Amino acid sequence: MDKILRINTGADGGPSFTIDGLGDYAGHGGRGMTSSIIAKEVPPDCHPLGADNKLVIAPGLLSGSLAAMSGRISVGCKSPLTGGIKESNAGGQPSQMLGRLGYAAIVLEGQPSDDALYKVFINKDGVKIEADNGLKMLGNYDVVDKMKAEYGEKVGCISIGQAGEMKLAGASVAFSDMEQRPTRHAGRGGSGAVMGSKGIKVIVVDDTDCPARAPKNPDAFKEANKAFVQGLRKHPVTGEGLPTYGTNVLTNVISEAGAYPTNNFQKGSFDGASNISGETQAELEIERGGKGANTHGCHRGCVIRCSGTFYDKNGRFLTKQPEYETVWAHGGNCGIDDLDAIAQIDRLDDDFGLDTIEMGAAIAVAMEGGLAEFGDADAAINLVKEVGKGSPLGRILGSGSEVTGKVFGVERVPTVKGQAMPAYDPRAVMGIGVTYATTPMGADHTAGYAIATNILKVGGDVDPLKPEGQVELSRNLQIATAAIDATGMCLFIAFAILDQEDTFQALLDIINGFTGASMTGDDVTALGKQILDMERDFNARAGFTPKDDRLPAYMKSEALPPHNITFEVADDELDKVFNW
Amino acid sequence: MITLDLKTERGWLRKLNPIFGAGFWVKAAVGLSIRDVLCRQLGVADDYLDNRVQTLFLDGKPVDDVDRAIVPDGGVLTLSAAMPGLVGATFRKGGHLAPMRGSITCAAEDETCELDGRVKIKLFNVVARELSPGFLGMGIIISGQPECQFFEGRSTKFWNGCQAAKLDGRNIDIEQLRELSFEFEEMGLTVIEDSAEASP
Repeated sequence: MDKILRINTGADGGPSFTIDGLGDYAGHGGRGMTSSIIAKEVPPDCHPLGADNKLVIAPGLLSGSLAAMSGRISVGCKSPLTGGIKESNAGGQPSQMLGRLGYAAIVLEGQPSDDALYKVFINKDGVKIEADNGLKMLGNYDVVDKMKAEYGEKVGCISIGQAGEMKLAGASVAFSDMEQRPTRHAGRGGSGAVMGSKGIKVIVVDDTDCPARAPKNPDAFKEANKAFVQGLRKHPVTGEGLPTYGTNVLTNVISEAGAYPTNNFQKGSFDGASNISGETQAELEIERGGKGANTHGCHRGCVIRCSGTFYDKNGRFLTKQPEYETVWAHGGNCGIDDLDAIAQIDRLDDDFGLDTIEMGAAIAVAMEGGLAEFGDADAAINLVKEVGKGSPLGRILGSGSEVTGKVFGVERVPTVKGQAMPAYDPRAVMGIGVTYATTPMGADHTAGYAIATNILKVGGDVDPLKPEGQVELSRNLQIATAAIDATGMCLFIAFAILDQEDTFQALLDIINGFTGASMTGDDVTALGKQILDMERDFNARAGFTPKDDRLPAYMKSEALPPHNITFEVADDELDKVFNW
Repeated sequence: MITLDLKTERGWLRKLNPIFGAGFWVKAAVGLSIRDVLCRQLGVADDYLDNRVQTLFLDGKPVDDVDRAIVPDGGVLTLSAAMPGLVGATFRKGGHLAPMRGSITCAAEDETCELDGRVKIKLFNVVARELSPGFLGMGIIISGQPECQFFEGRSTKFWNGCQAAKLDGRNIDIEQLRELSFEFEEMGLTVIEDSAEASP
């Protein structure tokens, strides 16, 4: 990957493009690439939907190679939801395809002078950009069907639905999966709205005749990749739990722990958890049958295979197997315990191009505001449909939970930096509350993942009774996660490298075998710190202060049942997270 | 208490996943450690508890030390394999990330006081698949009308694979079972799967 495609959407006569070398961005990938470009080229005080903002789409460092699990892709911009820097990532096919085509990034720049809508086609012969107003206000499924009909059955698509065109802050960017369905989304932070503001509806990628990227040291790479795959397969989470039940295996456990936000974070345990658990979902999918029902991979090269396909009662494809976060957001958080209803909403979210976490949180806030009863699945479905229609109510909901809370006069709005919290209540698991509060991304569970801080030796012994223990862990997790996000590796590799030192070493050996570098654990740490420093600096220049690194006030005063605890980590402790 | 004894084909038990997730009761001596209750009385192997059960809750609180967490009468024990995700990892028994949920962790105790009682068991994910044949072979108690009514009105598909049944010790046709009103407060349930694998 030695080139960057820049598309100037504000050029006279319609979008134009240039293909540049990597320049200062050599060596970057994934989140490292997106955050580097945004931090350097985007004025932090610009309007997120204006000409000065940029949308950066970057495969990981290893994408396009034969490295297992390397098919994640990052999307970066100044976020319309948080006002700060944003990296959101997804699976799907385009990451591997762009890697094979040699693109380290696609950068959408400028602002169109008219309201025409464009499609971009990229293959080995070059880049074509054409107006296609027939795509206006189509959902992602229809867009991908049209692109398949036009460009063939083997292309990958990066697209936005109606929400992106309406520039709603909850809009996602969709990436098509191995079945050419738009089911994998860079959901968080409203990157779909930025793509909409650039007038680009879809980027079609065709890697026909492009071989996999060759490693610098093929033998070492092949050996390391083999050891890495073996490590993933022998681990109980990546080799058994996730492939059997998907990520939704968490529902029962998190609810049992009292950390499952229920009815808009009013309590930590959901009576209907068992009805929507991964165990029940897997059983339902097996009973209904169908190709890839339970389970399959979300991108080429995935060996964990935690995704799946959800067929409706009549055996018709409805959506991909909803992830844990989606099942929570549209399930327990709204008091809904009906898997078919949740899957239907997931389909609508994917089609309209919406972040399922933000939408679930917004609907729960609206329910608390009196718009519907908790548990009313039909009402929830209709509210999401309002977003697709672009009604005033739908635009409010699609703008996220914070806007929804303001409009409907709700105090209990679970956001940090304007972004809704995911499926873990920080009062029960205070360590994740530290990450929610301090990550530059806004409340985000993937910002500090269960990466091998113990193996990286950046941790140390932590006293569970002291808040500084939570701070120390959160810091180390955020550093390690930022580095992994740069590789394009799926974060789910975390479990195997957390527990198995040889698997962690195999990961380093893959990177070194591929790039010819000699990266060590210390280098991983340094890379993570470099990325976080860039992101924090951008946010500071955008006007963020330590006061933005806080959970909502009610979480310090309102005890969460069943443990009846509040968030107790002091503000001055939170301010120490990035003291390195 | 009414009793239902089923003989089924292998693999049928997975249809009872909602019951395993919601929990069932077993009689046991309580006031003892989790290891004493599970391994000395309920047939769970020590190494299975130590290695396979990576996530364990007592009354909703994550447990780090199975030898120093005391099970009270009426206590709820929840058993799961290792979980994904950061928060999933924080709940691991004695894991590196356990401090992140320190405020809700089950306290360690040294005092035991043995007495007869009963314990609610919840089984999740692969642990349900692996331990349920052992528990169902010994017999469990399903308590509460909603829980008992799980069986009411189930489809033919659900009952397929059920080879023989006894209600209160008397043979009953599967068709009759389908028509039965399960409005019981409590029900003893035993299920023997054909060629069931031995409990770990």
